[in-house]
Amino acid sequence: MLPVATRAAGFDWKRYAGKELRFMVSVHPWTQWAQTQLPALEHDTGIKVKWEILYEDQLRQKLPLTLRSDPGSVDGFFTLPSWDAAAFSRAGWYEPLGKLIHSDLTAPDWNFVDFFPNILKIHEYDGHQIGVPITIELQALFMNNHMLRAKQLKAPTTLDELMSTAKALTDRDKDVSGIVTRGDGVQAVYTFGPFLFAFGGRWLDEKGKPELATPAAVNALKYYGELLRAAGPPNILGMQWKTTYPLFQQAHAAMFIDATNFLTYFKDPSQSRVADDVAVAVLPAGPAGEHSTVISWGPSIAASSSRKEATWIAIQYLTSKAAMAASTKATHLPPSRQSIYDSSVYTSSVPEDMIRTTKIEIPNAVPNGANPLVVPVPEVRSAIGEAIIAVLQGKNAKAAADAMQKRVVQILNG
Amino acid sequence: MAETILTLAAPSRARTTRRRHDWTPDLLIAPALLAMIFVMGFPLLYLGYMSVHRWSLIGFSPPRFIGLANFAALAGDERFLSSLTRTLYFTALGLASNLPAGLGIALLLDQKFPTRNLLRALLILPMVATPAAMGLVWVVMLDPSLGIVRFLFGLIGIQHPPLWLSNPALVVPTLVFVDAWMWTPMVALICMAGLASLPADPFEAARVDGASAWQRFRFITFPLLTPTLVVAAMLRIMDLLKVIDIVYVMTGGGPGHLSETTNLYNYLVAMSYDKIGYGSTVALVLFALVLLCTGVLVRLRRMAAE
Repeated sequence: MLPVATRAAGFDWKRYAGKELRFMVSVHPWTQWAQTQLPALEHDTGIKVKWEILYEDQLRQKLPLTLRSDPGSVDGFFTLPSWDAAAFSRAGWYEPLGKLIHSDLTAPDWNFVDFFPNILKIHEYDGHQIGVPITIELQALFMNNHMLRAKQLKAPTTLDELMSTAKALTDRDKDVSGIVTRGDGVQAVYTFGPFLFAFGGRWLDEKGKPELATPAAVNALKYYGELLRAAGPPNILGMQWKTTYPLFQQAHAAMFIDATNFLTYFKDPSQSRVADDVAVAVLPAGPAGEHSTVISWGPSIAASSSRKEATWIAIQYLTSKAAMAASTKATHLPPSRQSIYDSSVYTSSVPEDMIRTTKIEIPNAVPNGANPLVVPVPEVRSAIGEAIIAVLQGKNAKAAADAMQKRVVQILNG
Repeated sequence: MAETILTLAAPSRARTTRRRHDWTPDLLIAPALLAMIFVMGFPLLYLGYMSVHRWSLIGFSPPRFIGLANFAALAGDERFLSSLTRTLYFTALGLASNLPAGLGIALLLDQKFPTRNLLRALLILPMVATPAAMGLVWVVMLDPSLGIVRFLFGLIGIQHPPLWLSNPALVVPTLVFVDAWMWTPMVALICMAGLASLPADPFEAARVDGASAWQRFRFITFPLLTPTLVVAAMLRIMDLLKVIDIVYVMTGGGPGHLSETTNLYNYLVAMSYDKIGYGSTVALVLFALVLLCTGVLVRLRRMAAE
């Protein structure tokens, strides 16, 4: 049901009553929550929404096919800009939201400025707002407090400390690794990002040209390889997130770097041996400071839709302050609205160290830094992954970086 | 004179045959034939059409004809060539393990012993399981920290067994092992059917002549079973050359691309890298390879049968 304040503002939520919309979304805690709100949405706005939930891989295949071959059949869709923004923008599939946000089609209390400015940037491309971010996905350092205390070690705050702490915590005889993070080339692009930024590197320059053979990129590659070869699991080569997090969860790794979402897996005593020992900290800083990646899924409007205004009403309804409070309560995911983030709805649902960590990380995080923001994301990720695999095998970081730069340039030039 | 009569008579008979040709069988199979042409021929033609185009699904631009550029690019594509070599290696290892093991199991289960039927029933279990699910189970079992395989090695004093899926030299043999675990039973079933159809007389004669078990196998069973083995090999080669499921699930082609098969590369190029035309070219080359290998085996089977 609509919040009282919204009703009182006199906004006509029912101006597009009778419209029927089709949304194509991926499996995600938020989309599953939103699905439960559709009857209320229909009651309050008169808009009927068909909510088509697909697995992420399937969405990546079906959505472009549908937008291309049957324009107008999809009104709204779920987008991850770090993956989609460049390609979908080039294809002209996003409806810019700016003019809708600043028109009388937007409820006065929807309050656009309530969103974290750095998080809104995730859904900006070429100066256009292409979607509405719904959650915040940062990366963090997870630690097994029990293991750190046993060796009288503190949470590392710099990359040098991370290296020495990880080495000190490694105990091959007891099958314990000091640290674990992704070692599969393609997937590790995500976890490698913060190391690249910490050394002062970046994926692309201002003109969109790759910057992957810079001294910062070489140093980051070298460090990533050395850290995981010295203190990572022996089978680090090829490890995807589905094999890394169980090691930390089952106390076979003392530290873990990955998305903040993993906290749920570690805090659940029915599947975790570290539920009482897990602590969260800000990613260790390098010579250029600490910079996590930050990504966020969110709903967008298809440019080919003939029901854009009604779609905007539906999106507003599902991302309003009241809706985000309800979705946060249901999913425990960090909300993109500052007012909800600071409210007890969120702060009472997650540990204090997680809140402190994300609060420090949000302003410094690189929006969409999970990979270069280019059209051929999967192919470019694969090329970067080859360099990561090379350093994990102990090969020369400079040669790996040069090869990565050459290959990515080649891919981008078509 | 007689020859003249025959020569004259021949066209007359031919005319009679043509006149009396019964079209009913042709008409009866025509719908099935048309369906086959539509189901198999059309996709193949379309694949050929796509392979000479540059085509992205992002945006609305139509496919652009580029002639044989995709084929030329393929010849210089190191990742494709490596995947092809790897696929052939995978196929060779698969055949070398599947056929002897399948034949061995079939020979064993051809004997009469109390639990034979139970073992035959158990044999088909790996085959009926979903490859993706089994792949995930094997990933967990082979995990060097949490897996049961490591525990079992520990029981015999090996605390640090090899890194099955992370070691570049071991990853393909490990995947072949899992594939063999799933599909060797199929080879065994084919061989069991072949063994059941062998005539009893040569075996009885050999026994009377005092031939040993090995001699009976070497000079009777194996030669008579060769056409069956060729069929099993043909089926396995087709599957092994196209292998994708367990590789995708267990390693995703990694570490790096070290376990990437041609079919997996084909999927990534077309569906993930959005290069529909180039992916079609890879698919066409893979199709030609499977066709070639199958053709060679069909010929071998004919030779074996003769």
